[in-house]
Amino acid sequence: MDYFLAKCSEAVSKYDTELAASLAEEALTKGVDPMRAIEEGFAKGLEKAGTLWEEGTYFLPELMMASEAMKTAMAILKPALEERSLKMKRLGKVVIGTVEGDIHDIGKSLVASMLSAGGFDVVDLGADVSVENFVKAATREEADLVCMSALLTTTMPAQQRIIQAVKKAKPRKLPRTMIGGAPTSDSWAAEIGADAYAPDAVNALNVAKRLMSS
Amino acid sequence: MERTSWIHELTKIEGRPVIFDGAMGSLLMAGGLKPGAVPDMLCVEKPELVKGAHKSYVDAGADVIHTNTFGSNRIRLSQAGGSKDVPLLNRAAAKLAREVIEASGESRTRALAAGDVGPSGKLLKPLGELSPEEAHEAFLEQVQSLAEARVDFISIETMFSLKEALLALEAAKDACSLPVSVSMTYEKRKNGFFTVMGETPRSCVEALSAGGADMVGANCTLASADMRELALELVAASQLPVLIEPNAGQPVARGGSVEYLEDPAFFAANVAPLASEGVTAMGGCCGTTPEHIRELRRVVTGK
Repeated sequence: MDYFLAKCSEAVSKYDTELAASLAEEALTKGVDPMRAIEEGFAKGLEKAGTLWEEGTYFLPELMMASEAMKTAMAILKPALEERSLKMKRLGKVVIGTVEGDIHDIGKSLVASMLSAGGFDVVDLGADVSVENFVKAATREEADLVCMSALLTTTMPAQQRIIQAVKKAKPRKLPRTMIGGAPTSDSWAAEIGADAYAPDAVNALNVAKRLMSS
Repeated sequence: MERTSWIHELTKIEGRPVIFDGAMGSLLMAGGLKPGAVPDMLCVEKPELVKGAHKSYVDAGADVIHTNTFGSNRIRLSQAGGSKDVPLLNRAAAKLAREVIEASGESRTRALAAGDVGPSGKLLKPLGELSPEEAHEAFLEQVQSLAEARVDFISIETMFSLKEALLALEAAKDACSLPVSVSMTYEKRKNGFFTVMGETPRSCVEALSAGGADMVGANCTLASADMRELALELVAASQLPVLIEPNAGQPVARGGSVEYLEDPAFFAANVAPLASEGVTAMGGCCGTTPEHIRELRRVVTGK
């Protein structure tokens, strides 16, 4: 069993999507508890990929492919979880996008992918998203967390406008806010009243988890 | 040791590095570009504003100004909801840079217009949806238009993927016979400098040289002190002229607007000495202003 779970972990950490899919199928036919396969198997692999990234061994492509492998396995196991009236443990609902005037899509998509693979329900609004659309989506989705990416000095101030507009709209559930993007920082987050800043996609997952438990 | 190069010959500069311009977007915003608008569109919508920005860099002593075409490829423009007429936009931008240079008066040296080519903004397959053919076609179209409108050379910048940089380089070589400079963006990680895709400066320099680049370089992300360290690696790895354009440090918030930490004197003090380390051309990226370029020019000419 432990060997099987280790293989699941390795399929994700070595970003082998096909292997992750066939191991997820195997878990179903063998009657492995799907929750256990995820938490003690595949999810460990995603953590490992994150560690390798922080160590400087992995880069954007490896991280992106590992999160894809994770999501593929989860999609296969999901029906089995539901059959057992178990819900996949979801950490919260995230609304994410790149701010208006800024069409940088890549970093934001990697964060979305990591959050989704890490157990969040993610609504990705895309790039060049207006303040109004952030507010609408946060309200409609009853988001727990709003994530805003800005890659340009000239578009950073939009993060502040979004945070203020979300607060002003007084949604039923006031979401927490997280910012990111190359020119942003902890001090910028503090200045504009964001709850958190994440310097990269691996940290974004850790910071988002921490925000949800605080 | 100073390296002389094609760009020295073109500019007729001797005994000092070639000075490139600095950041464009912030000048355009100060002149009325609305947050959320596409800066490239100003080349047709508010040409005088773009010319004003170019002129402030020429007046500051820049030998090279970049056309306002960083995002003027069809992939990025269609995503941003900008003009569909990509050739028109690029030709208009090149014309503006040319006009400013030609109006700048007599000088022993000659200022150059660099046709600016930025990344497509999309990830190539298999990570993303973009095919190499689509990328090549987009860059080809942009470079052809820039060359038609008489830029002096092509400056591919801020590339974070070597694969995409090589596609842009190949397209530029297919589209025209002008020199092509390729500048990548590197991050400083625990174990050295890498692109976000994991490529090292040496591997980029080698691949770009083999691909026919006429100049290699680094711009954006790094502040001037880190860029110094990277510049030495690039010079050591390259037989080609090297261009560096650091950011003016890290951005900080100042009451709703954004400022960069490095003032012109600090920036110039870090960048100028690289001339004697073999860097051929130097300018600025995010956060740099005409004042940074003026100071850099002053320090390198020793006046």
